[in-house]
Amino acid sequence: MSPIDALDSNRLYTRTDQALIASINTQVDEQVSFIDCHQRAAAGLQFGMAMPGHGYNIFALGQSGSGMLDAVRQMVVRDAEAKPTPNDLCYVNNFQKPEQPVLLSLAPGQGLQFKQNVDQLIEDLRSIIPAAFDSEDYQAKLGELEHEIGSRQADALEGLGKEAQQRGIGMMQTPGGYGFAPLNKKGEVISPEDYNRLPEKEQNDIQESIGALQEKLKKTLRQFPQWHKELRDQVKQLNSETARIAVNNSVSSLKDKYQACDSVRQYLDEVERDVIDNFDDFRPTGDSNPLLQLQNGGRQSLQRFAVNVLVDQTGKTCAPVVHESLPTHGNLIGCIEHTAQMGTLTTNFTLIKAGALHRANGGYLLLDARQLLMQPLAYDSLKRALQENELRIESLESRFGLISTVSLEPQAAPLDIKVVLVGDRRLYYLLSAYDPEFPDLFKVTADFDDDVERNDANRAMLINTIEKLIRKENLLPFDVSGLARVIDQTSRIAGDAEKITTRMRNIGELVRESSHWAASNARQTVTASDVQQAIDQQQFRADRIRERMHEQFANGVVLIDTDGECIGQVNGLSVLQLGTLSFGQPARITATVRLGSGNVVDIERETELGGPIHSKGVLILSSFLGARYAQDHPLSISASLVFEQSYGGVEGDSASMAELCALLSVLSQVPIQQRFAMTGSVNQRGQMQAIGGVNEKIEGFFDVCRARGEVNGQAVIIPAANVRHLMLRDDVVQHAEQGLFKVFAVEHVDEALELLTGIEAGQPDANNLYPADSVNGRVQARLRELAEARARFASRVQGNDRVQSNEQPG
Amino acid sequence: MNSQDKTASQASVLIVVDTAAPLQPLFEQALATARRLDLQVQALLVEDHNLVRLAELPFATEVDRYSGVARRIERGQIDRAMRRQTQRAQAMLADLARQHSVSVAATTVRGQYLSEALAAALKANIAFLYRQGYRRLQGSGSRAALVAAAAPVWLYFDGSADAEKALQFGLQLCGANHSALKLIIPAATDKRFAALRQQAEALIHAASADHVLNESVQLKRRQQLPRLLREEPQSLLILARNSKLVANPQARNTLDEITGPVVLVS
Repeated sequence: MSPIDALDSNRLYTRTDQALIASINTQVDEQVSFIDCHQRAAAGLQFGMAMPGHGYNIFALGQSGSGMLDAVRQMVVRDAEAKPTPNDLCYVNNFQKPEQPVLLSLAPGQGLQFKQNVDQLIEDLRSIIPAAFDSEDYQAKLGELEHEIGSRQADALEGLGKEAQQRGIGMMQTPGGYGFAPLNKKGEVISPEDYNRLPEKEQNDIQESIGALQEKLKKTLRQFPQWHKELRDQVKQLNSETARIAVNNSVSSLKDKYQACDSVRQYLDEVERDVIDNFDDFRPTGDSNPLLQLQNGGRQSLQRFAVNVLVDQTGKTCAPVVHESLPTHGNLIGCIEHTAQMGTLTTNFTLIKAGALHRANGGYLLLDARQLLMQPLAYDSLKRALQENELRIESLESRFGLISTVSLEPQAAPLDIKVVLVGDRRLYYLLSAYDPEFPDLFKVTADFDDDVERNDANRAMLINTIEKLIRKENLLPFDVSGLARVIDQTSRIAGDAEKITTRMRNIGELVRESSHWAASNARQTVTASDVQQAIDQQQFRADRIRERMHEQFANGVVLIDTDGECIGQVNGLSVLQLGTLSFGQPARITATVRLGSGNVVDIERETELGGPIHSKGVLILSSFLGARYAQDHPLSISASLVFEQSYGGVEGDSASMAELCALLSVLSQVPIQQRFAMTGSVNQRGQMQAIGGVNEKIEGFFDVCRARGEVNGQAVIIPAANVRHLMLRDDVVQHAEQGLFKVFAVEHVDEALELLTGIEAGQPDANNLYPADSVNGRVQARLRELAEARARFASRVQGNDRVQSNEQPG
Repeated sequence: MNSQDKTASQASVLIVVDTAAPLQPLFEQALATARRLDLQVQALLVEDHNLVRLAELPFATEVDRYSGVARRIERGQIDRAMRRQTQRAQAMLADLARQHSVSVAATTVRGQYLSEALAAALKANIAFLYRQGYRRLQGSGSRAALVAAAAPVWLYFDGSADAEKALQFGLQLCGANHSALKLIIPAATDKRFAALRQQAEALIHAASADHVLNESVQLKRRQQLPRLLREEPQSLLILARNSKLVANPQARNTLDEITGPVVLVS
């Protein structure tokens, strides 16, 4: 096998060509959006927005912090601009059923105008109606009616009075009614003495006459209530007619104005009817006591004519795009507020408040899926609205049945909306798996890439996005070197030299902080060094734990060798993720072997510190051992593998190649050079497979080497498939350029073994035998020895068993 | 203050009401007039003694105004009711007098209303009379009209010097109240009516009050008067105290039938 060369330093970091950046037009193009990089997501959004029909709502999924919301908003706004402005929505009183307010839909911008018109109408009626009822005409008619009834009563009573007088009897008003008494010649009631002096017959005649007159009086009085009722009816009719004439003109002109809108005309008819029926509400009550006014309704009684403009589209020229950042149940579907009045909570249709669904009706509503799911019943309410295609305002309390007081049931608003949920992939898949209604309501996905190709077009779009940010936030301009460094860093964040990350949050932070450091450095433009300073400072701020851990390597608390050689011991590499910080560090992996039945014990797994993927890697290497070296005899070893001084969980199979090499070292008794660290997973054929976090791992080993002393000759072995991911730190690259630090890319375990041991790995002959002095040959020989030893041991044990059984008495 | 005013200030305004029917608008009119003319006010509250006699009769009963049910009435009951009515009238009068800043001396008598009223009126320059008839005022509109004092004023003009005085007073009252003046002219013939009307109109014209005169009605028979007044129950009748209608005992029946507010001017 030909010796493997270390990677050239230019393969450790792919620099952006500054000349290429200089050729890109850095003028901001508003039409270009970073979402254009996400072709799949853009296509999904386009489709979802254009596709009519129930359930074609959109779930935009991608990595958190990738600027999905902004990208979606930009695209949705672009689409909304071509759509018509939806109608204004107003709630008005339902005069038949006040607990069910009526929804009016008016042309855009007319809601507020309608409210003003109705307010003006009511204000006008407050002066017109009292004027009509104070008018001479009305008073004369009313007086006539009252006079008529008065005359009828008086005529009847006077008639009776005259009849009585003709019989010598006076009719007079008593405190409670009327009484009859005989009169003397002077016209006065006779005294009791005079009466008693009258002959009995005369007395009887008088009493008889009075009796007859009383009967007539009773008959007459019984007619009075009927006459009063007639009067009341006539007055009522007069009042209605007066009010109708007063109201008609004002309402008619308003009806003409809203002739095109049937529902408004219908509402105005109701208003007219109600005003006529309750004209007294428009007349001054004279209640000066505020409590009495409150009790009687006061001015509040006219509140029933108010117009609650729920959605006002005044000044809007296109469909709305609403982003509700706090999608609570109430913020989403609206709510009915209450006011405290005389110690009780009351409500009415003017206290109905619009939700985001109302405001976005006819357009788009953007919601953060996580926020939505975190709010009680919000997701459920959203689904119900989308399922029923209508928006019904219902309070949480009443949904839970927590309150039993009378509340409102506002008329539902027809819903025509596209909802775009923005969330991470896990949420999308969880909802898809566990909510059977979800796929019916969110049929369209807009899947955002975590990273995109690092090609010219995407570079240009990224630069355009950076320039927009600079302009929007008034940051310092970036020179070519600064832009190039930002692009390089986006590849580093992506963990791939051929990709650009789409995490706009990280890019934005880097651009802002670079501008800050440039300003601190009294520079007018942001250069590569400012960007580097921003990166270093970010690293420094979050670096406390990494430094402490590397200190432990340096002072020998955590044992690691970075020079010399050792049998059965290799430097593996791991990545630690702590919040937003991730960094690599070496870990000593050791292996021991003894006679056994082919078990490779993963101590991490046995102690439940190893995850399933790590255990899988160990099982694969066991399988590799058997398949490669022990095809004609049993694998007669019992091996143990351990991550030394690892007290936390170990997951992933990126150390499986290192573990294999440690095992082969102990089997072959060939020492491994400790200046190497390695990472990579292995398959059953011994091939090296790609792993994650390659940059962090290399830099981790580099940092530990540096912390322990001079970096001189240390190297890292990585899978060849990971070379494209290399975007190493500048100091690492510089050491590589000077030949002080090396990175080797290997494809097979044999290549790794040769690098680690400096001895040829060896190729098998036709009989599958490896050269005796090769690493593989030594492994093969050792395994054969162990197998034979196992066989000898087994026969000795069997022999002992036989002797023991022969010695038993028959 | 001129000499005429001085004379007036020694004179007085009399209010005579049946305690069963204290009428606030009438009180107000009288008090306003007294204040305007700087006259003293005396009030005579008349309790109808006929009611007492009725209650003393062995078969005394009353028919309830609302239910039409007949029930016995007793003297004590009538006395208590009268006392309440009198107290109410006195309180109302005192209250209004305070509002109008006019002092009022009130007296209560028990007797026959018309006799008491006419007897008392002899001592006063202007007498405001009112007693409850069968015609009870209906609704708030009527009351409002009287309170506003914009109700028409009927003036009984028979051409006498006293009638001319009464006309002068009527014109003042109409001017103060913005009321319309309607003349009732007792005249058996059209010719007489025309002459009296001309006389009245000349006086009105001289007082520059042409706009106040609304209409003139010929009264051929005095018995027609109550019916005529009944047409406008809120109206006020002004007549000279010495007119035949008051002075002639035979005409008293007609006066007795008038149940609206009446002002006698001497």
